[in-house]
Amino acid sequence: MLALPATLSAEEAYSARIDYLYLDANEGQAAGGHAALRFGDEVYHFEYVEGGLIRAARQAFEPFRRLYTETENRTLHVSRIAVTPDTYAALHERFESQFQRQHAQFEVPEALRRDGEILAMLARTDMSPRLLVKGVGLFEPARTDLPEDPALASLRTRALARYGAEGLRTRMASIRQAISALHPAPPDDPLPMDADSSPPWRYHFADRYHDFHALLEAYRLLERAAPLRPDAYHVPAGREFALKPDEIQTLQTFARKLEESALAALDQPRPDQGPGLLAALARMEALGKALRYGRLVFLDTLNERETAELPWGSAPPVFTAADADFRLARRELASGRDLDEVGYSLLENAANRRLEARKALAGKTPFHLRIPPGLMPSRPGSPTEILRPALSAEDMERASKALHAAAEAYGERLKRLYRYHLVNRNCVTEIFRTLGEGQARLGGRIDPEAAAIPFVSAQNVERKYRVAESFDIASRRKLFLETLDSEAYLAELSPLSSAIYRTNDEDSLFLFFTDTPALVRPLFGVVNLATGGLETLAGIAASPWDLGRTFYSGLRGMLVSLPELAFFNIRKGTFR
Amino acid sequence: MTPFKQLIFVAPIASLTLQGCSFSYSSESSVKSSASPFTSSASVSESSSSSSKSSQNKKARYEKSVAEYATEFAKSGSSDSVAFYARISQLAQEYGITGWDSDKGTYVAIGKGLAGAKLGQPQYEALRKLLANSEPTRMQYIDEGYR
Repeated sequence: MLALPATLSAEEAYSARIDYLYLDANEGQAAGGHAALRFGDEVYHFEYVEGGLIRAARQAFEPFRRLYTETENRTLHVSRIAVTPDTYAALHERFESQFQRQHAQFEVPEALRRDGEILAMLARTDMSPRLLVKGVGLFEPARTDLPEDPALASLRTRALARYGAEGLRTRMASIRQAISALHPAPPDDPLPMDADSSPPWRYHFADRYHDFHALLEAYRLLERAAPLRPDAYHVPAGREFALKPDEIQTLQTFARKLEESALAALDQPRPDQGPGLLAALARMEALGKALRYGRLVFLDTLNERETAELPWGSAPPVFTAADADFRLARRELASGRDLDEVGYSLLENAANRRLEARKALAGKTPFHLRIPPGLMPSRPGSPTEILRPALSAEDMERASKALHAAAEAYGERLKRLYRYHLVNRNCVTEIFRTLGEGQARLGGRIDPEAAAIPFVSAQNVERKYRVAESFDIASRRKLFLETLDSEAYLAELSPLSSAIYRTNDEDSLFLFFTDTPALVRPLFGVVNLATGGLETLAGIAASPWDLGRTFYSGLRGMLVSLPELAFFNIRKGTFR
Repeated sequence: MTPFKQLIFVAPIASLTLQGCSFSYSSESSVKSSASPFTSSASVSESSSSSSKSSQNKKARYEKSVAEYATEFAKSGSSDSVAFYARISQLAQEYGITGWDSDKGTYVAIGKGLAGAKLGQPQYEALRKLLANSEPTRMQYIDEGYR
């Protein structure tokens, strides 16, 4: 037990909260349940990843909750642990470091593979090299009939005055030379011998090649004061996007700073400046429009990737969260303090999410929510000029093979370090291992392997840690059932008559839900077991066509039906 | 249900259905690498609700990352300033910063990081000059963080 300062009551001293999150089981990907730790908005957990590994992950709480309680239909049990602010900070730091370290380790083979792939592509002389550069997709491709953007035209005037046309041409020539002189370093990344080592960071060939092209393209865009593509920015309607005089002043100051920064980047060009310079040019254009129109204009930073379909009922909380972030960012804009790039990025991010959520809210139908992939606008596009390094095709092929071999070797090392094990290394054991001696500061000690089952770990946390409060966040189906009258409730007992559940590839066939009526669970279990059996038999016949998919699904259905015979439920149905 | 009974039911089913922990859906597709061709995805999940924190908190976290990397770089004995700048650019991009060269806070954080490496005075002077590209104002900011 830690000694408390004499002047503090226990309540004051343990004023911070860490949540232990336990997610109950469901069929398929998490038959044993799942566990995580929440620090404020950040959730740290350990996920099963391809190749049979267990890997640290960090996620914002809201998407985490949405995935597990809505899409996966699992109830989230929260044990809120009272800790001192110092303990909170120390343990948060411990989980963040672990996440960063693992991320760096897993990034090494990925980077080597990317190097290998790009060299293999460049070695092919029968086709033109292809390259997507982050940020280039925000701008209109070169055409003669496009009007110049005034913000970029102004920057070009200043750049010409400072460096002269010849100076800018010389810089572009030096970038072309640098691309030509690029060559891959031998794959010498030291492999970590244990999970506690961080590999040193490397500026890899593929990244240099990408960044040099981004830089060259930035000069070319500046040369023609290229405008943004019409779909690369938003000028949303509505009073909430109108700018007040003090906000306009803050944005004016920020736009000037951004222009100075872009001008300075042209002074001594470095490859790493390329992606940032492209984003800065695009933001300058958006800011220029905002100041001209007197309303918020911002770049589209959303990810085009198709996301899971969400029910319309999810739209209001998504909108509320985005709106709260937007209001916070606007308050900072109007606070009278100088706006920095982080503040502007947060405003841009929140405005994008709010706009997307508003569309979902207005649609009143299931929706796909696009999420910004980061705080930097990075829509990829093909640069005007793609150059090859001055290496022979044979040299590039040889280097590519060596890099792929190194990536394989590194991958094997990671497998040894992070191989998943049902009892010794899973989502629960890794939480308690990471807590390590820090567990004492939570009020007790839990042996990682003795608490390997998520449900058991949650019970242990309740018993041994300083839990101040416990509550559940109900699954989507549970929440829905609470709103029903008896007739509608009966209809929800079977997927065949359910108003909200649709059969999907994640779930095996079953005829009855067994997550709520415990008394009839064995009876329903018998029917579900028989259904699984029939699916298995059908799967045997279908095997030549579906490669055993139906057979495996039926077998899984039978397995998750077995516990139902003994009043125990795993399957709850998912909403993918 | 007791933990023992839980184990009886859960263990065989979990082992037969591959695993008992949640699968990372982000690893299911290659979209991650195609959407952001050459950059790490460390910030992806965070960014989805990133503005729930104030910009000062975010900036502090960025500067902490810069300081940590500066410490690591100084301890490594490397003099590859191109790689150093590239790493700082990568960190800056995760926080939406397009031009860290013009940001005083970044240089102050580099100074803090160099202090963390506990270098001798001659090594510090040499590294400060290298990382500030001999630019007096930047060197002054690094000194500010180093003190």
